[in-house]
Amino acid sequence: MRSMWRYLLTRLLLGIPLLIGITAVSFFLMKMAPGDPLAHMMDPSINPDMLIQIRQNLGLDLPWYRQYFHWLRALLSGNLGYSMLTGQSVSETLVSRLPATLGLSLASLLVTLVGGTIWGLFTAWKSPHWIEKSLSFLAILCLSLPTFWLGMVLIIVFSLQLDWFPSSGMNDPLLYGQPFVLRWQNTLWHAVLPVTALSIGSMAAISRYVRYEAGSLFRQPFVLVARARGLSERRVTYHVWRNSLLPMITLLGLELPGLVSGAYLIEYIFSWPGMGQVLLSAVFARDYPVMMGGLLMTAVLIVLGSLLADLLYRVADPRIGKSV
Amino acid sequence: MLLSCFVLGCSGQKEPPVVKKTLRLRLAAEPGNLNPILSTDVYASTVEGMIFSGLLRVSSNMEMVPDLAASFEVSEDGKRYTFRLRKDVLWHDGRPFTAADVAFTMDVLLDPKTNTVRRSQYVIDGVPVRYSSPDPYTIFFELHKPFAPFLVALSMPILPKHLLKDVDINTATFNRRPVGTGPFTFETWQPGQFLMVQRNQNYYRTPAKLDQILFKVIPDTNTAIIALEKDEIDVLDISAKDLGRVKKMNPINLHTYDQLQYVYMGLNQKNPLFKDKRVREAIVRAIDREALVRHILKKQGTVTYLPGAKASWAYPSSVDVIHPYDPTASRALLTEAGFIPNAKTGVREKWGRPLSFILMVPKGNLDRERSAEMIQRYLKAVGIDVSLQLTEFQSLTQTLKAKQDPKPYDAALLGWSLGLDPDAYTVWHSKEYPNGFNFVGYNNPKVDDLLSRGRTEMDRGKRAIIYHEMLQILAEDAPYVFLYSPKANIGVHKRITGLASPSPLGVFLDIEDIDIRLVK
Repeated sequence: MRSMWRYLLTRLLLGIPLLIGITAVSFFLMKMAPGDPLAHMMDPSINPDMLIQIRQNLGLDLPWYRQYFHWLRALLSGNLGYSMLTGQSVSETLVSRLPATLGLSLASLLVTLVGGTIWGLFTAWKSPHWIEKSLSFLAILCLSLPTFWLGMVLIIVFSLQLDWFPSSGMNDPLLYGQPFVLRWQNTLWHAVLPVTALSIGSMAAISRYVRYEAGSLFRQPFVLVARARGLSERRVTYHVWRNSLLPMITLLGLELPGLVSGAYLIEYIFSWPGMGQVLLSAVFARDYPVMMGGLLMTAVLIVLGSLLADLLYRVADPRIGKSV
Repeated sequence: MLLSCFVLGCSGQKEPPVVKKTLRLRLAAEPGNLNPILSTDVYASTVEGMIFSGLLRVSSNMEMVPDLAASFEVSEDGKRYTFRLRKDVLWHDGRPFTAADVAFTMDVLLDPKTNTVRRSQYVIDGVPVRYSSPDPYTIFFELHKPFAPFLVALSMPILPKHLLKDVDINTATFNRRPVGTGPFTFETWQPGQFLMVQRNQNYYRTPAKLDQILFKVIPDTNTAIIALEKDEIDVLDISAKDLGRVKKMNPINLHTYDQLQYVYMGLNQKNPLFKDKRVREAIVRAIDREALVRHILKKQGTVTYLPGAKASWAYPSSVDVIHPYDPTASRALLTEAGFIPNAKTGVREKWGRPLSFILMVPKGNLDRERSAEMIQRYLKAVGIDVSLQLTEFQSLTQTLKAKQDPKPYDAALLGWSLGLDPDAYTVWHSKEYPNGFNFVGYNNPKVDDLLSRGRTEMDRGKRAIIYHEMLQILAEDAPYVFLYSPKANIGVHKRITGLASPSPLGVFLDIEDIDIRLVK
């Protein structure tokens, strides 16, 4: 247990120089891209000399490394700066968007895991040949569907044609000021289509992993022994499921940051008020503070995600902790 | 049919349902902020237009008329503007509006610490406008020389001094929770989702008929069209390619209007190829602009033979077609200029140098990309070789704004949105190169003179004559290939009434007149 804490502490401390490195390199790369927050203004009513003054106000006239150090210094005092485009504080911007993205991502993570596992186990578990084939085929089909296309199809079928779900948004604006429970129900209603669109692909991916992992596990001697000892098929499947978890933990650790940033297309199509929109428009507008804020957050998530996966691995597979 | 725009007030059963008239509009992106001095995007100005008001406003025939001002006069010499303010105006928080607010707004605009791009409009040839208020309901503006475009700048929304005098305007929370004097008061902004404004009961002009306006953020165009079809929004801008689909929607009326903008291909005059007027004219004559309008805009636009917008008062009522489509004449001009087709490649050349150039096109604008492809084909037909370079907008503007002479590009396909005032000094005057918006490096003393006279002449009729002459010269000279001016299409639900007659200012110009017909 003690070694576990030490390991955790070491990993966290190692994360700090890693983050500084990531942010410095990214800042440099951002600055290499042409333009700045004011460069896109092609407006003949704006005198170019006036922009020089604004650049000075924003500190854009300094060399890139000095701008980076200013950013870093403010960060150490807990300030992510202000958007150069909107004037809003970056932490406020990100915090206002994070819940929508996390909600969408976690919901789809849950759906992916539960759905993918059941799908995979069902495919692997003694099903008739034709079911197994068609489920595998379905998985490959779902894997290859482009997300934006799938999203659009879901909207057209389930919102426009069948009118079961709203087409976009996170809740009905006209419920503004209504009781919390009512709005929550409404949000869940709005979430069905985007979560589905976001989950189907990764659910299919997980099902493939589980299917192969479980498929080979079902042929392992320990399953034979279990069956020989007269364990019910449910118990057998449970043991197989536990053993098939290992590769999924690695997958999860890798997917965590992707879940936050990867939902962008879905957010765009479904007008979901997440971070994707903010970060992408920040990139196009060269809104450096917002880009850096988003980048730092993603980097922290990557570091934490891989750490979490390692820790889970140690819990799930006792062989690993001991050998260190 | 119960219309979705009427919301049942409270979920409790005892209270009768409250029916609110809500106009639901779409925003393709979220506004940056709602401070009219700082914001630069069209989404912000859409919302700000409901919340704020200025000394003047634009009338439906595109004239400047009093708004917060009760009356105004401009002195004979065009240097002194006197505004008498209305005394019945209240800020949304109940405080009275006075000349101190106007002076404060000017202070903020001219303060170098304010990150506003609008300062240029109040600094004329490097000299800031002077202003003073002898009493709470009078304000003077003094210019060091007459400057006709200044009038339009006076529609700038006025900010409340009492809420902003002690805060940093660049980062104030006010910018996301604005207080104005306009027909609607700010209600809420749910980031990434929607903004809502409520009718201002104390509005100094006729209060609006609508109870509230909802601005829904819907980035994806396809999703927005479905939202219109599903009756989740009432109004939507429709691009040419979606017209057919919207026309089939029964409850939607389509309105079409001209816009104050034109699309062009700018030719870098410092490039030796384009120095020869015959080559420029040949390029213009090689391109069938009518076909561009037909195929790319699906007829939702007009060919621009002059660098202006038909809807502007400075545009001549009848225009001769200058340099019409004529590939034969184009070839003849090129031959006359010394460019002879190479038998092998088909590309014309002079002294071994091929007649070829690179056209920069902003990435992501489909109409422009397709226009560029058509232009490429038309020019190939007369022996000019064009390579297209799709460029991200940021890096394109960086190239055009490069402070070097000559600038590192050949040609660029772009568009200009025109202001209400026809002054185009910054686009065509030789002084605006290389540090300015005359990035093609156009230099014609006659045009320079007309530009200077046009902005100092105060009489609209006389200005119109000056600009007619200038537009004619520009079209002849062809520093740009003037292409087309797209029309705007807007789909509006049939229950929405009180729309203004279509003009470049849109159909929602007088928001107070807009109403919703209740149908069961």
